[in-house]
Amino acid sequence: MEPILKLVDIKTYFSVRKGFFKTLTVKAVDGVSMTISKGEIVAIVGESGSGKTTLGRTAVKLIEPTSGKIVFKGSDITNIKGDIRWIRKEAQIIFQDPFSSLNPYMTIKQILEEPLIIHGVKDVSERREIILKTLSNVRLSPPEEFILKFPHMLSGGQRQRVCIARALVLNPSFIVADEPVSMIDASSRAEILLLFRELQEKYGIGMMYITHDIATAKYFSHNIGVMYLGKIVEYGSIREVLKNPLHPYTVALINAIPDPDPENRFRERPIVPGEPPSPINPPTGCRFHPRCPKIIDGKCNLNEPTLREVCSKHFVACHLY
Amino acid sequence: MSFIRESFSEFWASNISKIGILFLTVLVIVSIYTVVTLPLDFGVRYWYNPLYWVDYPKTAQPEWINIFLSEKLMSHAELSVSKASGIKTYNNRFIKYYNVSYNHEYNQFPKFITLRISNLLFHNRDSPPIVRFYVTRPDGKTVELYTLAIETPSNNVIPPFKYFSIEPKRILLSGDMYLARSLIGFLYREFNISLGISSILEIGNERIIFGYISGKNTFTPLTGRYVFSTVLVCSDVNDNIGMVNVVLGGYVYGLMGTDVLGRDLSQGLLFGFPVALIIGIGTSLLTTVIGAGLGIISGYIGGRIDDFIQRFADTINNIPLLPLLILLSFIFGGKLWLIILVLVFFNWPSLTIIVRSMVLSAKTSQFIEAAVAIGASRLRVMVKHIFPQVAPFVFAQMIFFTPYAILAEAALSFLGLGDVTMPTWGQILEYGFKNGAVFLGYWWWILPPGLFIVYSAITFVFIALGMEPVVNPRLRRWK
Amino acid sequence: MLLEVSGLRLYFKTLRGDVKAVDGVSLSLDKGKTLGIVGESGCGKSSTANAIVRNLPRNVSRYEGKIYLEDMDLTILNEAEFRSKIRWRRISMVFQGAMNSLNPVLKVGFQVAEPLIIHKGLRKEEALKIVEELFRLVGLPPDIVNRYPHELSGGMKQRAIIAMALTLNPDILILDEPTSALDVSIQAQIMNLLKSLKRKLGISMIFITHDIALASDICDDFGVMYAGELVELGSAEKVLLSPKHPYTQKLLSSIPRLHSDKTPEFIPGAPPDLVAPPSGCRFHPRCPYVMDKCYRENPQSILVNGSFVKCWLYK
Repeated sequence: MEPILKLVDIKTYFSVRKGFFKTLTVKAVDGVSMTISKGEIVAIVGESGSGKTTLGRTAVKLIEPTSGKIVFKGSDITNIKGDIRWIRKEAQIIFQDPFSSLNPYMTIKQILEEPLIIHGVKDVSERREIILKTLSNVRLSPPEEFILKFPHMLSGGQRQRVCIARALVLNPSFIVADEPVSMIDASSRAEILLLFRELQEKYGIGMMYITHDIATAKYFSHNIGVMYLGKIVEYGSIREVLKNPLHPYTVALINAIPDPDPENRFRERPIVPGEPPSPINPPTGCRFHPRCPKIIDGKCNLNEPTLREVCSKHFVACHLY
Repeated sequence: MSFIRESFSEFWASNISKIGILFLTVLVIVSIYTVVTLPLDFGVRYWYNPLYWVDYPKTAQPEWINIFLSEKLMSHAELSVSKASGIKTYNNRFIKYYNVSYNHEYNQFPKFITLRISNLLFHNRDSPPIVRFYVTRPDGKTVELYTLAIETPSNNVIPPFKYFSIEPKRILLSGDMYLARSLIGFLYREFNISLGISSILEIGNERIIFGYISGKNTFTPLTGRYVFSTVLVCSDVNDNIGMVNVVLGGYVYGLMGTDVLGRDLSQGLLFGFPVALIIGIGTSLLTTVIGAGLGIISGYIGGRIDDFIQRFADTINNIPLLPLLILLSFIFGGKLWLIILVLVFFNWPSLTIIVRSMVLSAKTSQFIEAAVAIGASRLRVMVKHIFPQVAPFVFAQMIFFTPYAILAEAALSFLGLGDVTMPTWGQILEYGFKNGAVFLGYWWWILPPGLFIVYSAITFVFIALGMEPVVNPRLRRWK
Repeated sequence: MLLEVSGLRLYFKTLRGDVKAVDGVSLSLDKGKTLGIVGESGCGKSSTANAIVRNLPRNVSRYEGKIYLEDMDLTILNEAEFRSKIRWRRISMVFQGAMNSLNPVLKVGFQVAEPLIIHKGLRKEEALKIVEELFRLVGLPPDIVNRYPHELSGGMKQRAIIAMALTLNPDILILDEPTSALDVSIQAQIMNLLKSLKRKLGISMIFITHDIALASDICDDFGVMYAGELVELGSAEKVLLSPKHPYTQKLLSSIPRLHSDKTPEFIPGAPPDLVAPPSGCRFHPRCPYVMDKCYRENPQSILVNGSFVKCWLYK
């Protein structure tokens, strides 16, 4: 499968001014490499502070990386200057909050037309055709009724479908979906994700699915990368990682997910203590070591483990291996 | 867009907006009427041209005041006659009579009497005509008012000779020495009273013509029918006077009265309507466009441009307006465009600062990020995405600012810094104050301009108040 | 039986008509147990909770029903009595998004202590001492009392909010989506905390969420709400392992399961408009087993095998 997006040692740092003289550096993404191929969905799983949101935005160049290389469809776009509209056409992003990612003053038609207008589809009837087709693709029927509505007239799930439609209208080859279903009811999430999967398969779109919910990643992605404090700590196929999680953090994430089983209420689940630390001052050595139940003293708090292939196509960054 | 319809119905819901729109309609209609009926250079051509107002009564009250008075004030009267009422021959001379009558029913004397003749036509170079003016009083007595001798035309002018066609001949009878002397004889002849010429002039020619003796040297107005007679003694039957006017200065005139120069205030005040609208709306429109535009650019683009615009705005905010305005008026003279320019220049910063902070918070909305992600240029984001967020506020500010602009101009004119080529309400007020109208009780000169200024300001305030429920829910999120 | 609610109705007046947010809900809560109320957003679960603690907005058009706390009828109390005797003292609530409504300019300890100062008339120092104890109970270091909200993480803020709800030792604690904005691992921590409070204090809870899996973590009894009505109510085992109402069945099958291979199904259509809900059974437009009767008549809630169900499939 040809790679659509290749990230090589991407680092994205932010400077935060604290007071007159002090400037702190937030190391949101601190050395991430990965490849996403045509038709492949990679789930990036992590909690707040893991850098997954920043990684997603860096991949589509909404945020400039501080160092590293981005290769998109064969071209090195890391330092590209000038008109980057072709990137905006090929790489799209779907945001988390369906309530605020649609302009409340625009009708659905205007929202979906805008990408087409920007990228030069001049014919009005051609635009209309594309919009109607896309809306029926995301199962908002009848499309002719929906195009006249305003976002506040739609439910959360419907709005998110409009966001998906907006991403699809330009026929992109790569989509970053940043927690697309976190703000939707649990019972409606499956519907949106299945729709996503269907469309992605139909059009062969490469996708980065960012989420904190591993359970949804299972149905939706081919590969999964687990992020902690700006680094990928485990990477592999979804089946493999869920069946056989190697990194202690991955284990903790899986344990934290409730299953609708009445037996649960008698069990206090094993959890990882403490909170995810801030990416301003990451701990020395392995970043997870202050919370890790399997810490090897003398090694984990001093040396950072590198991401290595432990089993076939299953990578982990941990001194246990 | 449906939300324009929704906002309009919100706006219309309150009664205040309806009143505001009603007031505004009146303003607009009057302004249109003014622009259509008065010429654009009205200021220079008429208002500031005292000669034009010579025959008008000075400091006359509005005519409708008579409704409220038991003793009516005399209306200004302008009598005219353009056709000979009679013709006689005498010694191969022709005598043409031009008569016009007037019914005086007031208990006052006219403030002044002026005679005007225009378009005198004669044919005989060697014997130019003589014009004599008489008045016959209700008590039958006749007074000789004036004799006008016509100059012999020069040799290079060919007959028929036309005099007083470009500019009528004006004779002010009040204070005229010739008439005063004639009156000495009149009084002695008719009433057996002996008065010297200085007494006559002190009493006033009009009083004697229009009055009768009621005590020692006091005259009471004589009511009744007066006939003004103009006699043309000429040698050719075709000699003619085009028009004779007799102007009797009254105490009341017109819709709004007159000022100390005799200027018809209704015309001056009328001219103030479109000027107020232009100044008010023009200034606030310019200020809003500049202020909001710079605010959006400053807030969205950020960086050095933001810093630059903000520091510039801060600087302007701290410059004192009035001293600078006085200086500029001194250098350039008071001009309308200067006032507008200065008002705009000093008022855009406050709007910029507020709009900028609104833009800064709107900028963080996810749909802005989405717009960038689909490839929208910065200009497109600012116009199509950011601007609608701040538009209701900006629009309301524009309406709020209009009364301020109107009042500012009025204040500037009142201080004497206004534009002297066109009458505005502030200017009329200023002239009134300067001439002591307040102390002398010339209410018709002071109250109307003040009321009109307030009225136009209130119009926009009401409209702005009606806009509030439309603006406020926008600041919260759409449900 | 600690709390018994019957026939609870709450309608709101809006421009389009009355929103029938809670339309005849009856439930009960036993001492020491946890009742979960689950449903999609807009089904009325938050409104039910607000109706119980009488947290009503201004545009209420109908508010009726019976609420018995042990033997006391809460509905006959006037506002002043309710406020002094019931609210926060016997029933308290953790509202949705409460952690984000902490006053940013006041210290956390003071805010949590407020109910003590207001209701029990304690002095600030005494109240803060009790707050420190409470913080220990919810797993927060006691020196947090002197911090400001922005210095705390999401999980810590939520623990502080839970502490605030426990200040007056209520009998019943209602929690509305207490973990929706938190990371998965923090969510697990909070759930563990609630479980330990249940054990240690024997507190009775009503747990409201849209996430059945989350509710199953802690609830003894389960109520499923749809369009303002309780369509199924029973013990956790019964509802989770043998759901009776078609909506409950679909809800359970729509959840992505980590430990099973079944692809999640979904429920087609959207929740109904609460101003004009469908005739008859409100679920009929989306029900796979819809019959003629379902269009015409709204089924009554009947007891079937130990659970209450509102469905014409059962007699």
